[in-house]
Amino acid sequence: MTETAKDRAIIGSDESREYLTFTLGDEEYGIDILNVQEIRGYDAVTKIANSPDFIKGVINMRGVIVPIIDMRLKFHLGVAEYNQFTVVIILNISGRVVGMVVDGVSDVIALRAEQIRPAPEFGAILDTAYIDGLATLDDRMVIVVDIEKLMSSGEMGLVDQVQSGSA
Amino acid sequence: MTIDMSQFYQVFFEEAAEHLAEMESLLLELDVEAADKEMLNAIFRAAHSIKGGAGTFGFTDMAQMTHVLESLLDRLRRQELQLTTAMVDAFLDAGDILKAQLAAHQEGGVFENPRIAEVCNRLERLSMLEAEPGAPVSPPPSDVPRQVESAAAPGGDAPDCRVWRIRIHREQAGLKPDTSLEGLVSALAELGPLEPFTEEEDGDCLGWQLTAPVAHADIMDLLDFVCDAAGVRVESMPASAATDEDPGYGFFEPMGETPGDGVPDTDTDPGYGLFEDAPGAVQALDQEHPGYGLFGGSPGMGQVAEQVAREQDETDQGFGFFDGAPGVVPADSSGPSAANAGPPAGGGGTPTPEGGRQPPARRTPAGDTSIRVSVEKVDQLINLVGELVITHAMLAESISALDPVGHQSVFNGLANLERNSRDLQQSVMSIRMMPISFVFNRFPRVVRDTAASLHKKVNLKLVGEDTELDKGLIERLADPLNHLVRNSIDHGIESPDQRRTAGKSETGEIMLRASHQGGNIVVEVSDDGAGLNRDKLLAKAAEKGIALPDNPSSKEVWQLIFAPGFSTAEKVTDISGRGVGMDVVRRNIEQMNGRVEIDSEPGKGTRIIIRLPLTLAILDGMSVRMADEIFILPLTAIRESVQPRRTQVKTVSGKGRVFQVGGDYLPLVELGRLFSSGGRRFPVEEGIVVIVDTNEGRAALLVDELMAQHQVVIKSLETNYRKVEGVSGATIMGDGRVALILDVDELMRLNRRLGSSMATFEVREQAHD
Amino acid sequence: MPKTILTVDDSASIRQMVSFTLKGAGYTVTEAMDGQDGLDKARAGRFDLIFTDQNMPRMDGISLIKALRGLPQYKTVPILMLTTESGDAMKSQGRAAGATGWLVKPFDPQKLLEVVRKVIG
Repeated sequence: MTETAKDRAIIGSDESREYLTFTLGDEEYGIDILNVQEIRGYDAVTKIANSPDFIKGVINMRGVIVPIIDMRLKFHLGVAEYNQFTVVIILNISGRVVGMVVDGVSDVIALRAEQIRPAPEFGAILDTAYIDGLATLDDRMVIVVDIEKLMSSGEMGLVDQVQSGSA
Repeated sequence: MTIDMSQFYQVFFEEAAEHLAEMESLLLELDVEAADKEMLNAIFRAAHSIKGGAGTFGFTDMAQMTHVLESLLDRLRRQELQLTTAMVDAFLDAGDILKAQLAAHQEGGVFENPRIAEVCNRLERLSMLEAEPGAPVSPPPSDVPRQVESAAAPGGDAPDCRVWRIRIHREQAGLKPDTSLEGLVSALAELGPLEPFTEEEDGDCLGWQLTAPVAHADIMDLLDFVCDAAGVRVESMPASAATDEDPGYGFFEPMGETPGDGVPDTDTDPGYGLFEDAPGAVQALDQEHPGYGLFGGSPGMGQVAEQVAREQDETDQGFGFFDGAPGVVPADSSGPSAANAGPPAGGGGTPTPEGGRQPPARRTPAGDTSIRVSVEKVDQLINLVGELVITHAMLAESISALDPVGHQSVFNGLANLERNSRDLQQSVMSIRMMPISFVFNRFPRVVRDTAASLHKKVNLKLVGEDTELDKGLIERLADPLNHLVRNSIDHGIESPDQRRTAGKSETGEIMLRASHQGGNIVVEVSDDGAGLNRDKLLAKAAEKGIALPDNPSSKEVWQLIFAPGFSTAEKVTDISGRGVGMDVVRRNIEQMNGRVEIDSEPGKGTRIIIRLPLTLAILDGMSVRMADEIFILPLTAIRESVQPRRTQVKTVSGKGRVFQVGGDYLPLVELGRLFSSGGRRFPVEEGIVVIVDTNEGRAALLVDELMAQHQVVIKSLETNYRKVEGVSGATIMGDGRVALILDVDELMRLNRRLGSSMATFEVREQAHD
Repeated sequence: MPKTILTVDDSASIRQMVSFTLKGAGYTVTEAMDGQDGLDKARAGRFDLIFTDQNMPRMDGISLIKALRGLPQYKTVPILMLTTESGDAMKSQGRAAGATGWLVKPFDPQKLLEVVRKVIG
């Protein structure tokens, strides 16, 4: 029995997880594919008054109201254009559905735990607090993001930080 | 055969809870001055049923409590005692304890609290009170203590656990003031639990209450050592709950066995016996067994005899007969049985219920005509129907471009679809509808308790209890209503003295009224109290630094009580001074898309009107356009729309812009300015002004265009996002886009904060660039 | 054919307990929720034994027994009162109404079966 447990532990560390990679500016990011609900185009966003500019508004996704965040605006990356090629990644963060506008979706990659190395302090767009580590794939460097942590952070303003008010 | 009784617990719990609720509502309805016999009967029956079940299923604490309760109730319904408010109080307290005991059993525990003994004692004391003259059939218990006042040795004391009251009059008992009674006290305490109690009037009297399985003589023997019997009174209290376990104990004799009468109580019956008052063998004899008995010679005994004979045969012969063999003629159907049958019921066997036994119609069990469904399932259904309605709207929009002539069938089909989905939506919504009585029902008790603790007299009137509204709203309405009612009793209704001085009846009245008005439900809490004091409110506002217009209207002044931290009470009481203010009430109501209005007249009373949507799921609204965004304005907020002229808009220093309608200046809320995304300005006369009702009175809302009226499905923004100020929710329009639903009260606040100074606003705007 | 028993009680829990116990012992049991319901069900069927509570809405146990004794088919059928009291007043009232006997509440299933076996086997 101890053996099986050990075996499983070895398999666990050996097992790779899938990441969806997307580009923001010149950098490539990876997020756990389990957080990705779907990828869709950008259309018909209803603005929300008095909200930060990177919150583009809300959309109707089959009857559910979903907020849309433009990561390009959030991280001040060049011009945020909205056209037929604009991509929205619909995330499911512990039951909350959020749309994230990115420059483009590039790939789904499999990474083993040991392939993700701790990220040094570096000048990434994202605060290192939200970064799980770096992975190198061929000649590309993918920044692995803890998307749950990022989206739940106060910085994104997606949730009421003072919960008492909503009771 | 062993039977697991726990399988019946759940039914008992539900049943007992129902009985308790019924008991409470009957008690609250009861008129102390002229108690209705039927109601007393019904209350008695409720207590009795609980006792029966509790005893059967082994919840002895509840059985004991209901036993004490029942004893007093029984004397009341037999008119041996006159109902008093103190009794009703004690009954209600007993009901509370039973509820707590029930709740504890439901969780597998036991409710232990000193209040149980206190309430028991109180009930017992009350049933010892003087009887109504001439009424009793059996000797009233109140006579008993007098009989035993002397030290005469009583005979036939049963060794039951009884409550004895021992009183010693120091002087008459020949005790010196300094005689120590420690020895006596410890001797008594050895018999059983001993508690001192004091006589109200007579300071010279010492008293103890002893609970012990001893006879009167045993106590007297002890007392004889120390004092003169002339100064001693030993009384048996009404049978305490402890005797309840006696199977033979009944409520016909609430005092139980009286020491001194020498007749053995039925408790001590061996449990069975045989009477020989009819011919025949087995069937003629009364049989008494522990816990049950059979009447000799009564109808039916013939069969019992047969049975006994058969058993005899079986034993003798070692084999049996099949039951129900044809041809078995019931023995002896005439003769003794007829003689003993007493007065037969009306000829032809028509039942004649005893006169006055029928209580008002009782609910018939829902049984198989209803099913229990989880609220989630219903909500899922509501969501799906909402989607259907939206899908229809989208479909309708996309085919609107088609030529109706060539596509007649499509248009017809769509019209049918619309009708059906609307009907479906209404049916599904109605599942969630519940009568407001679910929340109103708690108020008789709230009013009673609150009034009692404030020494006020208040009658509660409930009107429109059948009015239905959404379950979710009912639940959320309870707290605000509770606060308003308590507040009305605390601050509204005057003390009986004050009321008399003011020429009013001493008893104040609080009315809770619910009604449907259009698509809204209106709940009013009104009192006939002192009304709000304008000067006091204004003074308080000045003290708190709350800004008010120069000549505030009554409405504006009354609204002050909803300001945070505003309380008009001269002293904070534990009734309304719990730190939860009227501002919380208002916020709660607003969160339900409702609004609160206040009306008050000095000396006449105060009326608080709550307007709520029927449901939280759909809303009748008007779509309005601001720039290229569509918003939904709840129809309930809209008064009228006005084509504005530039001259109607004025700027008042410190108050921002106002809009003149008739002689009134209303605050101008420019949606474009509050929700500005591009900061685009347009001349006032190009837009349209909608006069809306807000909590702060009327306001003028400036939008670009009024579009159309819709019934919309309310969606929460908070599911995936967060609360947005000025917006109560969102909906999905026919084109599939999201439209935000405006909250006019929040818009007013937002307007005051953002709009009072343009400069602040512009700075904010720049910050986002 | 199993014997049939009618149990009349306004308390659903007591009713269920009685019914469950008796069914378990092989009897056919019908439940009625008050005196009036009991009378209606008694009229509609034939029972070998009837248990009735005393305190019930609409029609109490004593009235039910009197009414049943007025029906030809129930002249001699055993009727037992389920009662919380065993005082003489109850007994004389019950006897006068035509009850066959009484069973004191609270009772346990064994006691119930003991009585039923004694009365109808």
